[in-house]
Amino acid sequence: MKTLILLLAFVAVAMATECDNLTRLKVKAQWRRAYSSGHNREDFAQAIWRAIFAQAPEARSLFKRVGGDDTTSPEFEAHALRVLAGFDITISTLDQPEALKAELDHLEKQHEGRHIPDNYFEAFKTALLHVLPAQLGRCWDKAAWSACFDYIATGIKGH
Amino acid sequence: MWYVLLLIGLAAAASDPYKERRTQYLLTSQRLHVEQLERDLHALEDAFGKLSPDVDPKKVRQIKARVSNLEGPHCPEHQGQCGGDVPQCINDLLFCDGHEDCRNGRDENPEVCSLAPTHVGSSYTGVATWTSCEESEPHNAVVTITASERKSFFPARVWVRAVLAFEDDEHSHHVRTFPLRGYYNFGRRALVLGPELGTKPLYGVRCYFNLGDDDHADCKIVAPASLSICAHFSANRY
Repeated sequence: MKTLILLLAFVAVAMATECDNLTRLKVKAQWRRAYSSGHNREDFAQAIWRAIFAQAPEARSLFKRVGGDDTTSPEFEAHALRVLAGFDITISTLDQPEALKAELDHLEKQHEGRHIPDNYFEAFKTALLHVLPAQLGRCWDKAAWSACFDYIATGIKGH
Repeated sequence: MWYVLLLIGLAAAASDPYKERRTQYLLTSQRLHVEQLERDLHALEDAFGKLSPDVDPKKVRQIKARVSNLEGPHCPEHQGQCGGDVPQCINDLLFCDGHEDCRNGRDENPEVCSLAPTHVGSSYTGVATWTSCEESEPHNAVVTITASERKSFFPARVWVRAVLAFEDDEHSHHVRTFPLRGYYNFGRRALVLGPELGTKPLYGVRCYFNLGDDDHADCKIVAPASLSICAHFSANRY
């Protein structure tokens, strides 16, 4: 009986997707397709932020300085593109652990002291995990994204 | 005294039988005249009825849609048309999300944001003609929506589950079914379906509701990865 439970637990662990090397490559390739360029990139960012603020309206107050009251303001558009640019660096370096570590440390420093509750990171994740498949339209792996997003978010939160 | 005389005279005139018949005669001839007019009018109506009737507004909508499909201007990838007098393309992630992004606000128009294509139980059928993937004569294909969900924080898409079914062999009536999942995109009026999680990635479906209403679509059965077209069918809502 004990062996069976152990075996089942082992199977469960084996089935849960982790952000391993192959998963990272998958996420990297799918991000390349979704991130796009030009106007579409601005709108991709816009859609993500609208979805975040729809889930956590109180989070707007953290973005007063960058025009968070109106997500279509140029100041906020700039901020949204900056955020995606940072996220792009982390995704792009998922297969270069040292560079990734450096970027995550840098982002952690930028976020520390801002008292960002974990549920805001969850709202970001949920928003991303809905806008991404809408943007890609096909061939995307939610489990892979979930695992690698958690890895990146943990790096930024520092815990 | 004069008044009394006048009254008597008038009474005599009114009761004159000859005069009364004359009035009756005039009335009858007027009636006959009206009846003749009525007959003429009916003849005219009959002649009008034989002319071809007005075109069904639905048909006009469909022809307008087909012309505008040919006209363009087609929006670039990821974008949908705002419509109206001044053409404008906006990203399809911003349609029907509760925020007006088109200058004319049409990205939040109730007609544009109609949920009819995603109603559970909607079936879209047509005769599928295969150009690759299957060695098969043209046969009926059916796409049926089995579930749909719209997230309040991201209303620009309606996530759906569906089943694609088509007859494999017309003698044995063996039917093959493929569980699918995907979404409906308001901006591009597109139903985008791929293989359900954990199923063999054999087919996906793309349906464009670009024929002026929510009941007709131009559907394609595609290979899910490359999106290369296997078969196409003109779908009608069932």
